[in-house]
Amino acid sequence: MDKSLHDAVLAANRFGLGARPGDLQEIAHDPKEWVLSQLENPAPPLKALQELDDSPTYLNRYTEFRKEFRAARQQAAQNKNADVPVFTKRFGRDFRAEIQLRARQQCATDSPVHERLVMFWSNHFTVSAESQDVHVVAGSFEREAIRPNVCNDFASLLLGVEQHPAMLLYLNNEVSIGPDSAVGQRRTQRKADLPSGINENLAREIMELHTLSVDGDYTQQDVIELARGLTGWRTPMQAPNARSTRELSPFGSVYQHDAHEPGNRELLGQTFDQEGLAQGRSMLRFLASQEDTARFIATKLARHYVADEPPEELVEHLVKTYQQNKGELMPVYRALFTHDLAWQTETRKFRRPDEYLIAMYRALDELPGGDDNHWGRELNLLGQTPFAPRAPAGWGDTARDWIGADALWKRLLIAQRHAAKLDPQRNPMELAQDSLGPQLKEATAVAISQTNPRQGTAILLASPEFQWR
Amino acid sequence: MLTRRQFLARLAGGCSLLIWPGLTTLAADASEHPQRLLVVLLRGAMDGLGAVPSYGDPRFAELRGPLALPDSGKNAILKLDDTFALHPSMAYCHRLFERQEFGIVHSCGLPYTGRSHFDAQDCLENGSASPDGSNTGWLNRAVAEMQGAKGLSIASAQPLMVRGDAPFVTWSPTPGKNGGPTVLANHLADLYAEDANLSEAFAQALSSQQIVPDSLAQGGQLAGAMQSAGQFMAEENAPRVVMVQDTGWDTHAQQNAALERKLVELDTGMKQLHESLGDHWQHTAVVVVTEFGRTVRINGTKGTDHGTASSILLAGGAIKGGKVHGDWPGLSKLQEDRDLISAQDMRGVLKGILRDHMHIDADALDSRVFPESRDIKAMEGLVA
Repeated sequence: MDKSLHDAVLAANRFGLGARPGDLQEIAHDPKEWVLSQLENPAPPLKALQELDDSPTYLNRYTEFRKEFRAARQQAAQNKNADVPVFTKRFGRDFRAEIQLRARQQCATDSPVHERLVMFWSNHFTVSAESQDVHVVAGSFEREAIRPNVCNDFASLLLGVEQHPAMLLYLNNEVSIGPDSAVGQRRTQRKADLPSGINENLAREIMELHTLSVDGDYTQQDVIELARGLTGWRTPMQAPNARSTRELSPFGSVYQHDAHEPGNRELLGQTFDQEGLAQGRSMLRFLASQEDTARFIATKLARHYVADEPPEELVEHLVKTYQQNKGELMPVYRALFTHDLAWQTETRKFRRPDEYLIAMYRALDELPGGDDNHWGRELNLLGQTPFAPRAPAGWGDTARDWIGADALWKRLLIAQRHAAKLDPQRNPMELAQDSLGPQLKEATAVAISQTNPRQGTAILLASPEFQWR
Repeated sequence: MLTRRQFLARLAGGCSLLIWPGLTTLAADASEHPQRLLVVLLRGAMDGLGAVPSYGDPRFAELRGPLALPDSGKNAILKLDDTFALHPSMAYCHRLFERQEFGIVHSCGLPYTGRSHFDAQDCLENGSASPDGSNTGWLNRAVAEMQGAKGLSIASAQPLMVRGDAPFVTWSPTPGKNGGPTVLANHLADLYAEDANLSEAFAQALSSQQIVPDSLAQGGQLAGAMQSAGQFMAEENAPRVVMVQDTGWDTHAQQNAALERKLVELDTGMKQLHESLGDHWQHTAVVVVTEFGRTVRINGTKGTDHGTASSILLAGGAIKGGKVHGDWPGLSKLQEDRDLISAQDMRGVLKGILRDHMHIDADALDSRVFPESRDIKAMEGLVA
């Protein structure tokens, strides 16, 4: 069997998002080069995706909505006629557009390797659209904080994420007030009913889920110190008229100096004596430089691309590369995508529901259309509701998280539905060769050939080998 | 892991219900342990005072305003005693109450007292004292304490409550009218038998289809899910523990209409469950839980907002019904002047059922099923 075609399948399916008709032959010329060139020169994202509203616009509209909502509820309480605005009517369409255009981007892109990195980091730095304020910026968060930074250095990516309003809102940093800050002192004096004090949620998850990992060498005191360092990182919604605010990110977050806890911070034995905003930023850069962080990122990358239990040798190689390059991600990706252990067919990964759906569209050379949230419903059926992983750890990245009896049955259902809509002239055997190449098993080929084209296509899309990459 | 031969033999068995992997060895176990447990999780916070109004409380009518339904005439509440009644939509549950097969534990709450649905649901599902106290669920850990038992959740992806090391199968009805992928599955059976990682889940899915085929499964609504749950639980090698979940209980606006619609679903579900369980009803306990209660007073949009304590509903032939269990804190004093006070940690109720009905050791309940919960006593007298 032709090795380059073998490698082409791995490149397209393991590092990309699934082969489209014609892809494998093209990739086979130089599979590694096909992977690496996308990191250097990714195709620009779809114009329609870029043209969606930005976070400040969404947040302004949300602030307006809250004002109207409160006023209408007050009126209603006085038994006056009031039109209480409904959140889903105001923002549902935008949210569906975010889901649909992202899906279109994933299915259409000529740089699937780059796109997959966006998906990886979006899941590593997950936000969850369960509360209204996060809901309105969950989609723009990925476009603004993740997508432009995935080939940057890790510290820049980390800073972009933690300064974005979506993350500040999701992990409650917007209510975190330094007790000895001007705002904190005023609140204590007035015994105000507002919460006054630090909220550790963001700091804890940064250390546990974004950088050092739960196995990292840190203490509760480190969490408190980081939380203090991040006080004052807020959105204008909580500090609408505050005098002492300045821009924290261009995406609608602010730094409010009057809410920042004064004084030096101690983190992992290191002193941070910067004033104000620079303090939290330095602490984040410091976390990005730690070996625990390098190991956590290396392990997660290797697990995502290669195997649920990634080979130790590969992980250590990535840790070293991360450290030698001071957290630059490009050398780490290169080290991963060119390592022999990443190109073994013995290891394989079970496709996550979104990966499965994307691969299906790509294999059929189709794009999700309409704005009726068909994509969202199908993902929901498969157990992966878009933008709603419901936990700051994000979606699980091992086969165990996704192989369930019902989940498998629903994959069959979706495969059947997609095949049923297909042009009956299409030849399922060609589709199978085009998407799986030499990974197509003999028995599957036989099963496909023994039935009609639509059923044959359904067999291909539901086959065990199509579930793995 | 199934061998290819076993796998194909089971498929060839056709109607044989012994397809559940691993369950062949449990045939004897099922008859030794006839007890069944169904947990129904209502997400969104069911208004306990709406489902089980304390109409006899002196402050009830004044505090609830238009949410206090009439105690006679059209749409009248269904009285249980001098203090409590059921919502008019719960006629079937009321009949069960009279047969002592439906009961209530009023004013139940969580150690978590914030008012976030998601945090509260996480806390309720992980069975610890906090939303991030565990990444596995108490119901899974309870099954782990039952030798050889398996669970089933009527869901596509495992809810936190059933996540963990003990085996839990998933099943959910197929949406849409065009039928399920049964024919396709037959084409794939041989192929899946060869995949060591997928064959077991595939066999489970096929076996579930033989109990509740896609063509006969009720829609995704609560009543349909409860009916399907009963069908699974009535099988010879049934899962001993089943979980059903539902959404839509977050009645911030126009609560009278919204709650009526939801309680009709629950009441219908209880009837369909009873019917599909058949004789197994007598060995079954149903526990209906929700993450927290709602404000006692009405808000500006004729609804209620996130509160503290709610009710746990109990049903089934195995429970001691015909009774409102627990201490009633009354409405003379409210939590933060807005919520029903929590008089009972929900874990105490769950412990009472798990200990007395499923015969789980008290020490296991205090340490493993509900970690570090020795101070929460198992509630007495919930099981007949």
